[in-house]
Amino acid sequence: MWVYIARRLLALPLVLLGVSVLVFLALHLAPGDPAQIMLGEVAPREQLERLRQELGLDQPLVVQYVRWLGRLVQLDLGRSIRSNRPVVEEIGARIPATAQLAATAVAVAVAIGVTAGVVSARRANTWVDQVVTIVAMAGVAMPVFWQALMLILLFSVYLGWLPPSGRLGGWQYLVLPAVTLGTSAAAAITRMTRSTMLEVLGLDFIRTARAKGVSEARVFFHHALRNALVPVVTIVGLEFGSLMAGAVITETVFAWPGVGRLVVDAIRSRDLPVVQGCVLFFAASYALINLVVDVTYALLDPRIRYG
Amino acid sequence: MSIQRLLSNHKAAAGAAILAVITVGAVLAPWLTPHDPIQQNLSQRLRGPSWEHWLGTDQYGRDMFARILYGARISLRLGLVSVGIALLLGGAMGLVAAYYGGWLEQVLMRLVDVLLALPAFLLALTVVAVLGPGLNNVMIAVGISYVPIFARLTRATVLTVRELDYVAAARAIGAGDFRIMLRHILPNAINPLIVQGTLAMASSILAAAGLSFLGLGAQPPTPEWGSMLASARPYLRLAHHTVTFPGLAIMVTVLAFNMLGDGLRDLLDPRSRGLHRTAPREAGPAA
Repeated sequence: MWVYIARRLLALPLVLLGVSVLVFLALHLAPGDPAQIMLGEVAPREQLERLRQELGLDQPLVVQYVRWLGRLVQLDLGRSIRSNRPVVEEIGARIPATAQLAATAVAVAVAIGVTAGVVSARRANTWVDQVVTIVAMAGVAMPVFWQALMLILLFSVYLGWLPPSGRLGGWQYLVLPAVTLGTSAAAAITRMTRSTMLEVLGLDFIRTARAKGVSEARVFFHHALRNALVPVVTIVGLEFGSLMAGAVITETVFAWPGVGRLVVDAIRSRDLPVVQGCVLFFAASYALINLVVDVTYALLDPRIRYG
Repeated sequence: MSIQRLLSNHKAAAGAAILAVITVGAVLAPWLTPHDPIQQNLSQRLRGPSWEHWLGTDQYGRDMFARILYGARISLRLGLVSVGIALLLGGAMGLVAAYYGGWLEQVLMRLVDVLLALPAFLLALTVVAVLGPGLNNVMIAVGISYVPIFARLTRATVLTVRELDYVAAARAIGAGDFRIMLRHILPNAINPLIVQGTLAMASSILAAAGLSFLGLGAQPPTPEWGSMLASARPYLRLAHHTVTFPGLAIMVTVLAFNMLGDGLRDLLDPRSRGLHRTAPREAGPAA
């Protein structure tokens, strides 16, 4: 177990190193001269040259990468072209909003997904099951941004219950973004819960429990659900990927001041250092979350032992 | 696979039927509506659905039905080109990696690992950041974002086919590597690729619409569904049909591809059901 965790932890920097090469190369081969963008179209030539030297843009690519990597490990990601603030500060200031949104969305997704999955399995092959399946399929096909706008239309425009955007404090601002993002991940959790529940309910120990007179409710929730939830943890982890992607769009629609919105703004204004920083941030958190999920999985299911 | 067999699966049949309608609508768009999707008509702004304008008009008085029909052309092309790129590049990488093995496989698969370090949509977003916004760049970006998934899938399938006796037989009668790969291995490894290709159509249409919604894809006045939604957003309060219908169009199209893909999986590739690690799940609503 510990060997497995240690090995995964060691592999983490390697993957991130690969990502850093990719991100660095990609954005340095991108069209457009950062110095020109920083100073504007009409900057004098000498000033441009001086800035290029300052940024190291006149050096060979390998030298630039090694220098950039050296600063990266000290968490120095350069300065935003737009605001001239350090990129780390820019991202750091946005993390709480994104973390709050993501955590709430996961809670919403698990609550809806597990409930719907259990109901669906309990009433397998009835109309209830069919309705849940159809709603889940539609949910998968629904674009996050459209769902967001429809929720705004219903709850902000027509009913006037919730604010349409922003994050001025107060839970009201969190509800619509979290529900949008959470329901988007709920469909996959529903399907997984349903299928593993049905699988577990067909196993011998369930028959044994029933045979010795355990009540149906206890069989269902105590014996079956606990075992069925193990693969669900994996799905929650996998859904984190689409949740991060969804966060980019959700944050943009709801003007939620998180990292997702930051990266979209940065791409639009060609603020390359910020784009780089955000992509690395996403890759790092994705890798970390997957590690945590895999370890949780192993801890939850004593049969799994990674050598 | 015969048409009868396809139709025997209700999901696949329903998906195929919806897609047939959408395709016909896209191809015959100029004959199905008298309205121009781009020509503005400011005296007819934000009208609700009527006999003249079935789905109403948008903020510039353009017919929504016409724009959605023409939008189907763009979305179908987006899906086809992106999945084509992913299949060609990813398929080639997986085929070569599995067939030759050794250092080549190591290099290719480590590259795939790095690409998988980001969720597909974020990878596409990064590629767009590099290439700059635009419809063509979005197709390339979304295509690249699915390369790792197809590379892994092709490699996994080819690894099993490669060991079969008839491949050894083909080699014994002197067939070259290229011929063995393309004529003998690929046709027998194609089913999972067809299934995932169909599902990837759904997710790539969704991803491309998402990028356009963020202003990074198709630019106005192109009648692309995602960008239509984005530019109609300020009128949500006044005329919500300008937002509702493009979203429904995306949803129905994506749903149809997912249904067809699910059905094809049941028909062609029953073993891979429930495989989540290597295969892309169907279009996440992420985008």
